[in-house]
Amino acid sequence: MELQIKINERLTNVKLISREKNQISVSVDDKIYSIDLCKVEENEYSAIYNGKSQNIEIVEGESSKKYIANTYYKSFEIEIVDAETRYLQNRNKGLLNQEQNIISTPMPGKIVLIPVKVNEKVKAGQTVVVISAMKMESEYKVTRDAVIKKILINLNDTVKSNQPLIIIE
Amino acid sequence: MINAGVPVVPGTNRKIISNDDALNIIKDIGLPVIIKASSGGGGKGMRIVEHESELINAVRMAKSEAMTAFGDDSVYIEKYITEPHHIEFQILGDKFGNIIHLCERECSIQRRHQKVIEETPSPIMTPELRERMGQTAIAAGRSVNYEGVGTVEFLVDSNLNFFFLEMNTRLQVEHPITERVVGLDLVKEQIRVANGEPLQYKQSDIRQLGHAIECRIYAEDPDNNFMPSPGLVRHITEPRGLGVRIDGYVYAGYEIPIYYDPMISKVIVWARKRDGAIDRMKRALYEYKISGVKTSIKYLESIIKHPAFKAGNYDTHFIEKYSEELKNSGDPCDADCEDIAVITAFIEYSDKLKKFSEHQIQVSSDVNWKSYGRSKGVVRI
Repeated sequence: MELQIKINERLTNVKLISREKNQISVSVDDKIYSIDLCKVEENEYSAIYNGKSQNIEIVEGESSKKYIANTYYKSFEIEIVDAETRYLQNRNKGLLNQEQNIISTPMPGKIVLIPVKVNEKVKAGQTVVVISAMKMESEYKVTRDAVIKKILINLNDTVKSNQPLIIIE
Repeated sequence: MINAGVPVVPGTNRKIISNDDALNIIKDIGLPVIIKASSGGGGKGMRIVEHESELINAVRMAKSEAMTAFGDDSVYIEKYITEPHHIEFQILGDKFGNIIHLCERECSIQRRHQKVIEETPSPIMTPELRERMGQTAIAAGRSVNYEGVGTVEFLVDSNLNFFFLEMNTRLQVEHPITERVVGLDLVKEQIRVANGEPLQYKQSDIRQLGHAIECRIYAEDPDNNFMPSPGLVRHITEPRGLGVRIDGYVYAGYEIPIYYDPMISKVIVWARKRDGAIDRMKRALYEYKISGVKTSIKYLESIIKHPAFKAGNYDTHFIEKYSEELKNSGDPCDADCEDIAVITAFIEYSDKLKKFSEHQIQVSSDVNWKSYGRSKGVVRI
């Protein structure tokens, strides 16, 4: 079995060499690992590598191919990149170029202020939307001079993370 | 307060009525200044202004935040004291005019004016200063005939001058550390007073025993500019044991909503000495595991382990001053560890694909004691 797996921004090739009970031999890119890996609970793994033990928690993310992996101090975003993922990525390539024209929020929240109108000219650093989440307000600003093309949300709307809010040109 | 002989920070004693009003005030008292919500608390609706050009926008933001959080947009301005300690005194008064204080809480570990860690006694407190501040807190309470539990907050500068900041006329988030060192249940005392009963204690009955620390657990992402992290809590393991108390409300399967404050629980520890309390807190934070949402637990651990915190040498700028060190501390995850995370995801995913295959990984490994150790290790026991 062989898979492409993306961890944060790094893309790796992972190949299973052998697997006998908990003894697993896997190559990650050019490096070969012999690991004693066992699933001790739902979402919880214990790994022993080079005589050192390490716990990894694997929680499914937004889709069945996305995971959040937590070690004691670090948290990684992991994505299985298979044929379907690659197909979707190719199809969305055109959209990616437009990404810098979309103002979105990385966290869910409520729209509390939209201080701009459609067709309004805005200057770099100007606030175009204010979102409140958990009683903290965050201002979202444009990074360059632009024109407001579309406003996709209304005042008091509840928005999800990464939802497009405003399109600029 | 001024009439009661309580020293205050220079500023205005009324709300700001216009932008010109705000500009005139800063001409009087000088920069930097801080804008605060009249009905506020918890750092909401607060803004520091260092340059005149930031003033108007800061007033607008403070008003808007105050409106959302408290339903009242009145704000006022006062002089901002640099290098301060935030030290507050718990007071308790009845309807017969008896008021006592229950010693101090040091609340200088703050981020954006939100308290993060509190401890008592304060590392900078002296018996003489405690007596003076305690008596001032009582005078402040007496000046308004205060009944119930309340907190008188002070700013203490590097020369141990103190200024009245505000009074919180309620039970505060950090009250458990006081309960722990003085041995009183503040909720019970509050109910007794409300029931018209006289205080059962005199000032001379109050003794601080040992040292208590509280850490506030927030659902936020310290690696990502403390962005709020609402969402589904998958799993929780809480610390237990002697001198450890957890006050919290979330459980596995609970969805943290976007509407409220990100604080989800509090860890309160006690030990005979400050060093012991720090060690106990370190262990409690290690054992505390919440998955599904991002939390501030690891960040709190890096504060507790910081040499300046251990030495008790900090003011309200601690978090800002050491922000880089606090972010990068305690990180033994190397390249191998990243690859091991990849391998684990690989196995989890391939097992999911062939769920009933013979190769599915089992808990049982070769030796029973080893299996047991490994399954307990993940829950940090």
